Amino acid sequence: MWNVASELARQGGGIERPHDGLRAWRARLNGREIGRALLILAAYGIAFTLLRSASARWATHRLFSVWFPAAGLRFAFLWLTGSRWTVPAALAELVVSVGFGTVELSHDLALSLLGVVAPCLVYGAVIRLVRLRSNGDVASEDIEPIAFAKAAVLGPVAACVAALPWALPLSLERGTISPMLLLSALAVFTMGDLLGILILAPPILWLASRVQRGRWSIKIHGRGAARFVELGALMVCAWALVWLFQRLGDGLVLAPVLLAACWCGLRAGRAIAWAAVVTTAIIVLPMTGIGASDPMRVQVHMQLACVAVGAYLAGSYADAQARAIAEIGRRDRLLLQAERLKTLRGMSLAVIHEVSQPLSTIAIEAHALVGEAEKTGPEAPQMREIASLIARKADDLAELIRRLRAFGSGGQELSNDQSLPQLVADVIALAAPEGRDARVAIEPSPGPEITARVHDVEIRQALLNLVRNAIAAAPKPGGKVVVGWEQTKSGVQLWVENQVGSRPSPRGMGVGLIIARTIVQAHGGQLTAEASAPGRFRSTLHIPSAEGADEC
Amino acid sequence: MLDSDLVYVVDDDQDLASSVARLLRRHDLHAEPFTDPVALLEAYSAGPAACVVTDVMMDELDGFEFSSRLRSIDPSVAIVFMTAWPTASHAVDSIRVHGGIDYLEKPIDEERLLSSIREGLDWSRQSRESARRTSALTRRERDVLGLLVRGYSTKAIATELNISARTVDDHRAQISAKTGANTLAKLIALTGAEARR
Repeated sequence: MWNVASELARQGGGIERPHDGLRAWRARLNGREIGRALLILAAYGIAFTLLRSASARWATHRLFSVWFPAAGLRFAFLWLTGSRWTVPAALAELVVSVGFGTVELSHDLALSLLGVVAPCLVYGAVIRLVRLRSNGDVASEDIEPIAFAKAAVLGPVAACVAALPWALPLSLERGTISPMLLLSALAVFTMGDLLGILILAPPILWLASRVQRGRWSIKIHGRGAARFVELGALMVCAWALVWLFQRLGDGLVLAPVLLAACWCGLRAGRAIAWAAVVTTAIIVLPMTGIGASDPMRVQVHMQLACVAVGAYLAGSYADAQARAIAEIGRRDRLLLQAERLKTLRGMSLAVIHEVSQPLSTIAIEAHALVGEAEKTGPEAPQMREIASLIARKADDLAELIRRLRAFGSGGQELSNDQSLPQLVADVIALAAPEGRDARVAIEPSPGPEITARVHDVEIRQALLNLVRNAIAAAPKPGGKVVVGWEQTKSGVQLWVENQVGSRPSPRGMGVGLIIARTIVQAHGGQLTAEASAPGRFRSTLHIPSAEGADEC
Repeated sequence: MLDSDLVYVVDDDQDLASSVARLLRRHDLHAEPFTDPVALLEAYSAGPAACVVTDVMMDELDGFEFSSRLRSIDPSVAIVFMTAWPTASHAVDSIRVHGGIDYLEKPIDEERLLSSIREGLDWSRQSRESARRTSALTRRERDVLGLLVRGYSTKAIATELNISARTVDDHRAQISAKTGANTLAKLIALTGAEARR
């Protein structure tokens, strides 16, 4: 199963890219790829059906289970492969379930079909929406752990809400099931899916990512042993309280465990939160299997779902905070570097000043010496030669000082009209050695002669950063990076496009990207990134025209 | 007696001051180097120059302050600034606020230095000439001249100064006689040279 998961991640790239669903499928429609996709879907359908059968022990009213691990597999599958696998996955579930006879397409065909397919479709849609919010703009902060937790909680709720408009009228009309019973069944469905997702999906995704990267480690905040003792003791105390309540005849009250699990999440992140949830589930699930009454099952699983959601959300926020703190640290180091560069600039200016003073004297006197040497006549030819050599070198140095000074004050220059083809050509020339080393070709895309009012040095830097990122992401050897420009209604665009390698490159915010975004935002524009065609990725600098920027 | 080609070169780097002075002498100017702007200010009245080339950043007294004090002693001396720390704001101030002829970066462009100094010498000569001519005017005549160059008619001047038109005409005749400027254009040129500071 895990190899299948990693295979899927490889095929899907593991990254949600907008706008390439259909095109990507069309591009994949060759024999071998289809065979592989069918194999994966069949494996998924079988694993799903097996898990679904296993959850029959916890089924209520012969309708839904109070704990539905198959939902975890489905969610992990869709999260891993991207939402364009939604429809095939739904069909796989349907075909295999019907084939195994676990779903009866009995008296009410439409209801049965929708009942099987709808949750999968809704999950796909929720994952797509959450991904778009967090990943649609590469410039946005990476909120991966929170995005997953949000989708995991919203998915089942959305599936339940989406079922209401069609299931309720249908049940009223046909009278196969009473509306109240349907509502309670849907609540059970939501709860079962929530538990299934939060317990099963995280380890599947963790395993898949480890298989992909070949690294095996779990991220736990704080110092290991002391933190383990603290949280372990807390969980033991919580369970002692639960046991006490039960002894006192108050039934199974999981509130202490809920608090303890949330605390685990806040203190140590998702991994420990998940461990706390799984421990709770292992203790609780045997009690609610075959033989337990439906009301008791619903009541206990409702509490278990609360533990799972609370703990996992807390863990996700803790992980996100840890990431944010690490990010702040990284940016602090960048600031320090910038500060050092500023100091260096100040020192260079001081050196220029110190050099220009004596150089003035040397240059003036060297020219005087040339004049004097001219007067000496033919008896001292060397004297003339030496004097003019000194004068020439002094002039060269003076010119160098002037150029250095102009470069140092470059930051204060105002924007000026730049030819975009020229700008692109310059950037390609700058990046060429790096491209050669990586064996990636960099080419300009032919375009019209356009000029734009931009800060020359800064925009060059932003574009260069994008080109360097593209070189890093392109397949090697033999990859290609294309740089182009366009006039748009509101201004101009500069874009960099690269092929996407078979192994997805890490999607973190590189320093280069932060700088490029900052520069283009200073121009009143924005940086976007998207898949422009199957297997091609494009980053675009949108720069509004000067007049447009004034209106803002 | 005023030397109409005399140039003082002020820089706290003695080598550079001497070098620039030697350069100017080679181009037939009378140049003297100074390293101490304060000492020069004290001695200036005894030997006023036509043009002063000064560094901007000096230890004791910066070039801009030095030029202001120099101007208060001699309004008709031309000033050329030179600096190793050029900034855009100093460049603007040196011309607009301190009435300099030019603002030169070190290492110095010799051609530009020479042409700026020649321009300064011409300006200084004109300025002294205008000052000499207008120095003979009475206070009332100066008032009339001030209004004339601002475009006032005889009648308007009479109303403004609360005197008769006849008296204004008398003053105008005196002004023309003393300055030798008998048209409005010449009068404007005369006051213009004085005003450029």
